[in-house]
Parts: sequence; structure tokens; C-alpha cells
Amino acid sequence: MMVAQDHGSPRIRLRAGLALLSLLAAGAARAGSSTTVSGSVYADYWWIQKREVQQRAPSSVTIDAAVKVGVDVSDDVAFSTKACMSCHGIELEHIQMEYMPKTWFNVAAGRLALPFGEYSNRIDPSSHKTVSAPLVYDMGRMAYGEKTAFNLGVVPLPYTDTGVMVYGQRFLGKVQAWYGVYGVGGFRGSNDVDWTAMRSLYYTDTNRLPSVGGRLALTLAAEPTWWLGDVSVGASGVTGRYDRDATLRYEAWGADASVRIEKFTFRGEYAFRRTDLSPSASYPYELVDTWFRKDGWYAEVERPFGSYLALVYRWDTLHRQGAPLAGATELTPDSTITRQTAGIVVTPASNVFVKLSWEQWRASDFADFQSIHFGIGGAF
Amino acid sequence: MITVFQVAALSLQLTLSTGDDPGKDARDGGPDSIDVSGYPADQKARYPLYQQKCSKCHPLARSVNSRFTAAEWKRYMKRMVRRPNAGVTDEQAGEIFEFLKFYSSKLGL
Repeated sequence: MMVAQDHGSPRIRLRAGLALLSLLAAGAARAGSSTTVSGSVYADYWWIQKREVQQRAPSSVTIDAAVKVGVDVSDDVAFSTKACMSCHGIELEHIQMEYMPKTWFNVAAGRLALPFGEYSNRIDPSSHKTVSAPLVYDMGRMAYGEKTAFNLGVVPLPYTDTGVMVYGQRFLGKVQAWYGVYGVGGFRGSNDVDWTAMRSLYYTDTNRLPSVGGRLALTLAAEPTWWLGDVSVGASGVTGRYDRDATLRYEAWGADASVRIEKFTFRGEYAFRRTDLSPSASYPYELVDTWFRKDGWYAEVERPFGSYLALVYRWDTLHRQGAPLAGATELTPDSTITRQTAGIVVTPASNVFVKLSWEQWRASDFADFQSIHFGIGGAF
Repeated sequence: MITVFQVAALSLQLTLSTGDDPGKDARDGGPDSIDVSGYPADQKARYPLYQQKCSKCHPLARSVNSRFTAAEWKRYMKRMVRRPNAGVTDEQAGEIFEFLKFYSSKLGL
């Protein structure tokens, strides 16, 4: 296990940071800068059919809430922060400064929510119709997500890390080419990534090497009179070393596409990660390949029916191939989870949404089960 | 620790109330559409574009209930149209800005 450096309580620093940002926002607002406050709250109840599976998932009631404060200090400089509350307690999703002198050249620095895949654009509960993230991007709301089982998804979103990102865009006719490259602290862990450490420990890098990544997205900017809406394709990647000695490497790649046709929105993404395993970990056998790979994809379609109702259907899968971690008792070297999700979203009043979903889980190494999500939330 | 929290809550409250009129507070929520029936024809024509682009990443209500002046919309839109997958050309951004500028003037901002 990674050892936390004693630099004071992260919670105290978080609260101090929130207070500082709030004061900054208040001061900036008085000084004539434009300030935006937005956020959402979503409470979800997850009923799982089988009692033995309930112990392997964050079933019952959870909350997902966020408040964001953005301050446009000048035409070229903006600050923003977003605090989230969910299974992990209160955490900063981002706290950053953006310098935006040119369309094609912008810089963001601080604690950043990094772009990986199309889903990273719509992680807020008010921005997606399903009740859960795709398995490849799951951050803790999945069954069998323990470290000795699937250890969450490929790149849990939001992927929040500390560093600098340079981004920009160019238009080729009606096609937006968006690009971004970043250098950040990177994933953390000792034998596979420790996702809890990513959020609960001090926000400094644990080794001497920063991780690097980027995203390229092409979007056809449709006109409202077209039968075809915006069409997007994208590719993302990130690589680095995750252990304290900077010997264990990881690399993650993804490809995505989305299109709106009439009232239907179709999306699909694929994500892959190869992660080195520690040869010094105490395995009861000799490791042949000192790495494992995890990949998966999802495809979904959603359609609104009038102003109050929308339906969504998603098929997603997550696959892990390679030696299970020491201590894993059920996971085999070739394991797959497949899930089908059918959901309905009702908007009874402006800014309020109610989500109801049915899920069918099938797992090669674990028990299959069905579950139902019911939740209510709002955004402003 | 509690003191820091209290400071945060107080300063956030100050931030939110900085708009003079509590009735113009962005937290009000409010409608997720704009009644453009009384708008000039050119503004009516811009409304579907605004609806389509400004509801792609967040609920439309967020912008409907923001009380920004034209200058503030210009800054805010600059950040929004530079997001990945935003899909808003310079011409479309100009049309949306013209609509929001008119909307601000209708609200007396």
C-alpha cells in the first residue's frame, strides 16, 4: 500500500480552499467580474435482487451532489472550482485557473477535470439520462468493483488530477477540431492503481515522473434546420508511472463517437488500459506476464418524448485479462461483466428530474443479478 | 474546522446575493424555456439554435435563469464554445450571443 505523506488533513485543506474560492468569487462579483454558480443534487436508491451481491456493491441510498463557482475575471482569465459530494465524501472535482488568449491556445492549471472520452463532458447527473456511468468509466457505483475484483473501470470519471493542460480548437468549415494535451501527477498505487488514494491523499505526485495525456475531438457543428444533429468522433490517451519508485507503467486509450439523428442520440465508446503488476507482490505462483489489460465499451441510445419524458437504453461491458491480484479469490485471468440498462427519465418540473432504471448484470466470475435504480435530482 | 466551513458558507452566500435583487438570483431555478412569441423575427429565428447548442452539456434552464449582461454573456460564452465537442462555429456563437444580448435587454440588465 502507498504511504500517505503527512502534510496535514486533506479535508481541512479542502474546506480552506472552498472558503478561499468563495471569498474570491464574492470579491470578484463585487469588482464587476461575472460570477456563475451552478450545481446539482441527485439521490439514488439502488435495489439489488440478490443479498450476496448487495455486499459487493454500494446498494441502497447514495447521493451525488455538486456546486460549481466560476468567475470570469477578465476577457482572457477565468477561475472556477467545483466541489462534489458522493460516496467518497466531499471532494474538489476541480479548482483551476484558465488563461484563454487565443481560440487555438488556452492554458488551464490547477486541479483539473481531464478530458478522457465523450462521457467526461457529461458526468453531472443532470447531463446524462442513465443512472450510472458506463462500466469503463465507473468510479465506485458498480458491483464487483473491489480492488481484488475489477477495481473499478478503465479510467474512472471524472478523472481529476493536478497539473497543466494546453488546449484549443480550429474550425475546418463546420467541423470543430478540439485538442488538448496535459501533464499531471498521474495515477497512484503499488500493485494496480489505488483509486481511493487518487482522491483521499495529498494532491502531490507520488513519484518523480509526471503523466502525460491528451484528447482530440472532431465535431460537425449542425444547424437546427438539419435532420442530422452534431456528429462527434474523438480519441483520448494517457500514460505514466503509478508507483512511488516510478517503475510500474500504465497506458490508457479510448475512442468515441456520438451522433444525433432527428430526436435520437446515439453514443459509443471503447476504452483500454494496460497496467504493470508488481513482480515483488506476493503471488502464490510465478507471474508469466507482469501486466494485465482491462478494456470495454458501451453503446447507448436515448430519445426524448415531448418535454417531460425521455427513454434510454445502454449495453456495456468490461473485460479484464491477466493475473488477478494477490488475495483475489474469485477473479480468473479472463473475466467479463456485461450489463444492460433500460431507463426512463421524467422531468415533472423545470430543473427537476426523476430517473428509473432496470439493469441486468451478467458476470463470468461472479453471480448474475438484476437491479433497479430509482432517484430524484435537480440542477440549477 | 467549523469556522472555516462557516466562512465558506457565509462568503458563498455573499457571492450568491451579489446581484442586488434577490429575485434575480440564479438559484431561483425557474423555467427551462423562453417565451419568444413577442420577439422580433430575427430573434425568433435564433432561438432554436440557442436551444440546441446550449442544452448539449447542461440543462437549458441554467442559461435561461442566468442574469448576465451582454458583456458577461460574451465572456461566459467564450469559455463554453471552447469546450470539447461543443460544436459551435464562430458564426453560430455570434447568432447565440445576439439572442442572449437581446434577452438580457428584455430583462432590463
